[in-house]
Amino acid sequence: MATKAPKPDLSTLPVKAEARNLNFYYGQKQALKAINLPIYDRRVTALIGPSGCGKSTFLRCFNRMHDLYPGNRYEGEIRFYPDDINLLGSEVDPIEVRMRLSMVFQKPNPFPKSIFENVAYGLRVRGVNQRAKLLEKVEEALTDAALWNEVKDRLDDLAVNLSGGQQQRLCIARALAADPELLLFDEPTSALDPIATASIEELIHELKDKVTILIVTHNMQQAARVSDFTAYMYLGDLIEFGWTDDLFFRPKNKQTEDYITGRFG
Amino acid sequence: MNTTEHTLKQYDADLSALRSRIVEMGTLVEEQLRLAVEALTQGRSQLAETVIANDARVNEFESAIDDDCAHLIARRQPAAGDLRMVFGISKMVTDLERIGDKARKVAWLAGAIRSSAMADPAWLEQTQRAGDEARSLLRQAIGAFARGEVDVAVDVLRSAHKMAALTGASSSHIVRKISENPSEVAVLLDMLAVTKAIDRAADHAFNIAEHLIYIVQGTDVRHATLDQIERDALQR
Repeated sequence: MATKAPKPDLSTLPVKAEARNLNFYYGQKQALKAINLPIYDRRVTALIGPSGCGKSTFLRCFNRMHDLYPGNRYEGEIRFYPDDINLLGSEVDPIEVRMRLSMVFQKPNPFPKSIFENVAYGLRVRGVNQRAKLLEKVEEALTDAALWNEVKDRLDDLAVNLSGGQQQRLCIARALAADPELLLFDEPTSALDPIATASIEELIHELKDKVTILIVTHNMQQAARVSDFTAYMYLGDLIEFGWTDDLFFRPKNKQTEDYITGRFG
Repeated sequence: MNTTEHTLKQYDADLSALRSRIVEMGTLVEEQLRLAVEALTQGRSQLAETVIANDARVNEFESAIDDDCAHLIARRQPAAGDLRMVFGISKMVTDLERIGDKARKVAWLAGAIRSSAMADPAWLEQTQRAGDEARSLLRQAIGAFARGEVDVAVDVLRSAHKMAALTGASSSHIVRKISENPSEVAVLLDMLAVTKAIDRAADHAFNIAEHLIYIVQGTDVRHATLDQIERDALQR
C-alpha cells in the first residue's frame, strides 16, 4: 500500500512566475547565468546553495530591488502569471511590481511605529484609510501570521518591544496585509531561536494554501522541511531543480549531492 | 557510494565506522555459517557449541549497529546517499542477524541428525555444497557493499536459481526418505529444517545485495524481476 499520494505531473501544475534565460550583472560581474526556473502557484520553492551562489540575487530580481543601485543590469525575463507580464520589462513600474509581491528579510525590521501601524502601513500606502477596513485587514493579517492572539490587546504598543520571533511574524503580517501574490523570504529565520524558527516554518506551511512562496535559506533541513520544490544554485548557475522529496533523497547531480550531504568545499 | 569527504571529518569517521562494523558483522556471520555446516557435515560437536556460544556476539552487533544508526541520524541528519546508507545498513543488520539465527539452528540440530542413520553421505554432501554456496553469496554481497559494487550485487541476485537447485535437490532427497522411512520422520524433519535454514540464509544474502543497490542508486529493487534489475541497475 502506498503511504503517500503520487506527485502530480509538473505539466499540470499552474505556474505563478517563471524565470526565462535570466542573467544578472552587478556592474561587470555576472551573478546569475541563464536561469530558467518555474515558480509553481501556491507552492513553496526553496533556493539553496553556498554563500555567493546567487540565491538572494535571484530572489531580489522578483521585486526589482536591484533597480535601487546604479550599474545593476538584468537580461532575460521573469514572466508573471496569470497576466503574463515580464516583471523585468522596462514598461513595468517597479513600484507596481512591489505592490504585488512582498518580502520578508533575514532580520526582523519593524518600523518604529505601533504594531497596528506596522501592519496597516502597506494598506495606507495603497490608499486604504477607513479605520474599520484597516482593523479588519490588520486582524486578518495578524491572524494569518499566527500573532493575533499574542498582540490583540496591545496593538498600540511599539513593535520594537516584541520578541525577535514576534517581530518576524509581525513583518510577515505586514507583508500579508497587502494581499501579495508572491511572498519572498530571504533567510527569514536565521536570526531566530529554534522555537521561533519552528513557528515561522509552521506558518509557511499554512500560508501556502493562499500565496506562492519563494524562500532563500542557508538551512538545508529547513528547505527540506518547508518546501515543495528546491533549486540548488552554485556560482550563479542553477544546478538542479525538482521536487524537494527527490532532491534530498536522490539528487540527480553530484554537485547537489555533495552540497546537501555536507561534502561541499 | 559517494567517496568525496565531508567538510565535517567526524561525520566521515562516523559513517566509516558504521560501514566497518557491518562488514565485521558480516564476516562473523559468514564464519558462523561455515562452522555450523561443518559441525553437521563433519560431525564435530565442538564447532556446534562454538556457533551457539558466538550467537550472542552476533546479537550484540545487531543492537550496537542499530544504535549507531539511530545516533547518526539524530546527530547528523544525513541526506541523500548518506541517508540511504544509514537506512540500508539498518536493514542489512537485520538480515545478518537472521543469518546468524539460521547458523545457530543448524548447529543446534547437528548433534541429533549426526546420531541418526538417516544423515547419509549424499545428503551431507548436498548440505555442504548448499552451505558453501550460501556463504559465497553472503561474502560477495558484503564485499559488494564494502566497495559499492552494484554489478557484483546483481551477480549475487543472478545466482538465485543455482541456490534453489541445490536446496531443492536436498529437500527432494529428504521427502523421498520420509516416504521410505516413516518411523524416522522426526529426524528427517530436522534435516529438512537444516536445508530450509541454509536456503533462508541465502535469501538474506540476496536481501543484502538488494539493499546495496538501494544504497548506491536509490532504487528499491526488492520486488523487481531480475530482468528489470539488470536493465535498470546496470545501465546507470
